[in-house]
Amino acid sequence: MPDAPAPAPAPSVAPSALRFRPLGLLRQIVSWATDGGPLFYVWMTVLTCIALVGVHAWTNQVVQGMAVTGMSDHVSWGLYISHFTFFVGVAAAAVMMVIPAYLYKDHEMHDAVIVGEMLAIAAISVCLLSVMVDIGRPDRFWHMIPGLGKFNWPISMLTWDVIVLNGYLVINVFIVGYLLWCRWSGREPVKKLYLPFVFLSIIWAVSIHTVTAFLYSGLGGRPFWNTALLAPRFLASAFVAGPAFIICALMVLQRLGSYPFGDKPISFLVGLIRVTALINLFMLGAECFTVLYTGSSHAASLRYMMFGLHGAHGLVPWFWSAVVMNVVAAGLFLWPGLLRHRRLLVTACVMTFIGIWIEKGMGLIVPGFIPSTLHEVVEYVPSLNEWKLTAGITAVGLIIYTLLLKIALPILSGWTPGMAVGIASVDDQHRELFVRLNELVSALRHGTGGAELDTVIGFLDDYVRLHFTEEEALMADAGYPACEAHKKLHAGFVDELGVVKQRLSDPGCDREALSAELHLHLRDWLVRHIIKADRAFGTFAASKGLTVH
Amino acid sequence: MSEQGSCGSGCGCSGDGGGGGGLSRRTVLKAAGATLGAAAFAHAVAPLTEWAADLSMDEFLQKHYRELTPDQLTQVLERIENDTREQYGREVNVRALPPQEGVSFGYALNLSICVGCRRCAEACHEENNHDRDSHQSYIRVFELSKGSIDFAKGDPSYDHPVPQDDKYYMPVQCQQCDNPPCVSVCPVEATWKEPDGIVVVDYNWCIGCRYCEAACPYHARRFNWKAPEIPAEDINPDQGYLSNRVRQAGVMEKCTFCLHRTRDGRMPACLEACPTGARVFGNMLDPDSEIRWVLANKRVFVLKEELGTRPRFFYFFDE
Repeated sequence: MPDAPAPAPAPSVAPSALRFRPLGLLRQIVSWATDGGPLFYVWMTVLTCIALVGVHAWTNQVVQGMAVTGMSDHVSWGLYISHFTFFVGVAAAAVMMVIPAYLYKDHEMHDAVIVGEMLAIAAISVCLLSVMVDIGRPDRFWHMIPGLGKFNWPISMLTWDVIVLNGYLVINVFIVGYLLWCRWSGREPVKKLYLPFVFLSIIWAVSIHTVTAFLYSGLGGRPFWNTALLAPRFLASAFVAGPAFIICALMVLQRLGSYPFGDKPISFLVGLIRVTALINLFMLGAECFTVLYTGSSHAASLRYMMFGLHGAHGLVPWFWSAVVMNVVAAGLFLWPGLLRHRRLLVTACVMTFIGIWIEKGMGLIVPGFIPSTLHEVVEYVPSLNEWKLTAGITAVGLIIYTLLLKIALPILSGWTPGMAVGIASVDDQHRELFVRLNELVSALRHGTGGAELDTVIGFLDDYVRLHFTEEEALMADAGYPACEAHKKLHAGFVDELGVVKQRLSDPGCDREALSAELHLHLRDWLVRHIIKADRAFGTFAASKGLTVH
Repeated sequence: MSEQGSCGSGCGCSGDGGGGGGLSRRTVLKAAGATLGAAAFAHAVAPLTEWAADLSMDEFLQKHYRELTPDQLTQVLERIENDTREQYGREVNVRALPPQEGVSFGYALNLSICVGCRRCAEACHEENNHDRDSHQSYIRVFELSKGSIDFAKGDPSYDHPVPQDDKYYMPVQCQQCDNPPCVSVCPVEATWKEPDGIVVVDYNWCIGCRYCEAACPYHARRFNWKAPEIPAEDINPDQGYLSNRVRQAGVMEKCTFCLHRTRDGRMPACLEACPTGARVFGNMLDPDSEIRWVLANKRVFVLKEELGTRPRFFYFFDE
């Protein structure tokens, strides 16, 4: 054994950590959700302020009536329903991470998929809030609750939408919650319990956007919406905007050092957008051709949006800026070098996100009403109150998303009470192992080089050996029958670490990739090893009355 | 992992689950922040308490119109009368007339003699207790060029003496469709078709989602963007629960063929106001009714027949 740095002074382990307690989890969640650096507090304060402005605007609207919006009997849905429609798409896009991660068992996608599923939860919250603020009598919300009120199912498409949106929320909360719970409490997730829901969520994601499109395309009196292409267009644009957001979220999280996801999820999503962005533009073009070439009076809405109608031009700048943004972004995504230029990648994502927001919102909901069913041209401009409310709802969505990530990422990356073996010194060393492993990953990501990196690796390597030696000694003392097999597992890990060291000594190695691999592979090994092998020893030790408190 | 704490969980905590013993400065700051946020939230929603005070528990819990027992209905009507007295300072009589057996209403309009005076729209405005400020009415009259029924070239806001020689006039109101898209889309069954053919709204059940307004191909539905403002002396006291009683803010409304009149043997207000006799209304099941004569003898047409909505509102020309 080389001269190892002394094991971290073991703070007396709180006995509470040795047994799993729901109250402990709650306390831990609150602490994870509210602790953070200055940036976190500034971010949350700003979001809270915007959310409060939104709350105030909503109050104002309830008290004074919907007259404070820019809507009218001619354009009776506006910014809220536009925002709703767009975010249904963002929510549906989470499924694009689920398919490779669960269906094709792509290990590197496993943690990133949680980022996608949490986005689904936050986006659905935005959807439900957007609808809530759009209804004139929120006090009568209970009329929609099956059993209590009168739920016009299956006739009204809106009731279908209520079912699929809430169902999608529940499914995603369940999957994410179950997997994190398992990690926290040190259980192996039972496939029978969650995989059916994973498959269900894939179908369900398609359904939320299809049903939302049917809300509009099922109206015979609105020719602009009354097209079978609406649902496919919705899906295509959803699979552009949603992944674009997830790419940005992953990059922000990597940059903040919250979690090394590796490049695979990002390159996968970029590859996806390459296709979907083109399909989306193609369908928009097909729609424009069909409507404009036919030249019937049904073309009026599209003409109004593209060129203006009877001197009204309100949507023309919206439409063309969306087209320009979507086309430029699609071009950027096609360029093979985009993955190497992170700033440009973010720009492309933001551009297409805004472009789709306009296309599906102001560019889809509003022109459905202009001209009206009796061909009157009455324009719509969102009022300040509507903008405030919409900003507030979006802020609430971001707050939910931030808090979910704050809770999930530590559970994914560190020691949890579910890994408690029951022997204080062993548990302490396990915690320290995670800290040191994460420090190495962090050093790699931040480009730490030379001697400093060697120190960090050495630090981890020494600690691993020290820990394994002590643990094995404990086993031998206790007369643990599986001691030899366990030793072999340890030796395997030390070998793997040796390989990593060797790879790192090559100056040309891809540090980003290595850091992700370290993080995902070694950490997962550690987690599984502790949960299975070490805890088996813990149980044995306890039965011999050797548990150290 | 700059925020890595000693618990190894990237949470930045000191490894004891957050709080630890005693009050740390961070905990105090967090509590202060939460208190401040809660206070700001309370301040932001404060006006809601005033709004909620106007909403009685009876009104909040009221059942769907078609599920009210006769006793409950009597109480509801009384409550509405009291509310109208309190809010608008007018004694009114709110009735809930049921549809009559063997009656199925139809409406026809003779475009050859309509002069576009818009007295029907004005009569609707007054009869149905519409908001005075916005001059709301269930009827819109389009001035169209002879030789075309293209609404795109029509003008609903003409402001000159009528009739103009080269024009004709087409009033449009609820077509009381037999296959009404507005009814199908309602998520809470707040709107439905009565046995006498009239599509009605329970103003106390409607949640105000405006899906019906989007679904209607005839721009027949209206939303109460705010509570209607009507001087006490202008309020029409002869009211129906499903028709012209003063509506609340945030709910949908529409033409009901003046069912508080027509179910009582009278004619709709728009018909009575018409100076040329262009409007024909009656029971389509009665073989001797004028509407039956028109349907049998005139070449009538309906608006947007291709949508399959099957309107009960017919248009025809004399020649």
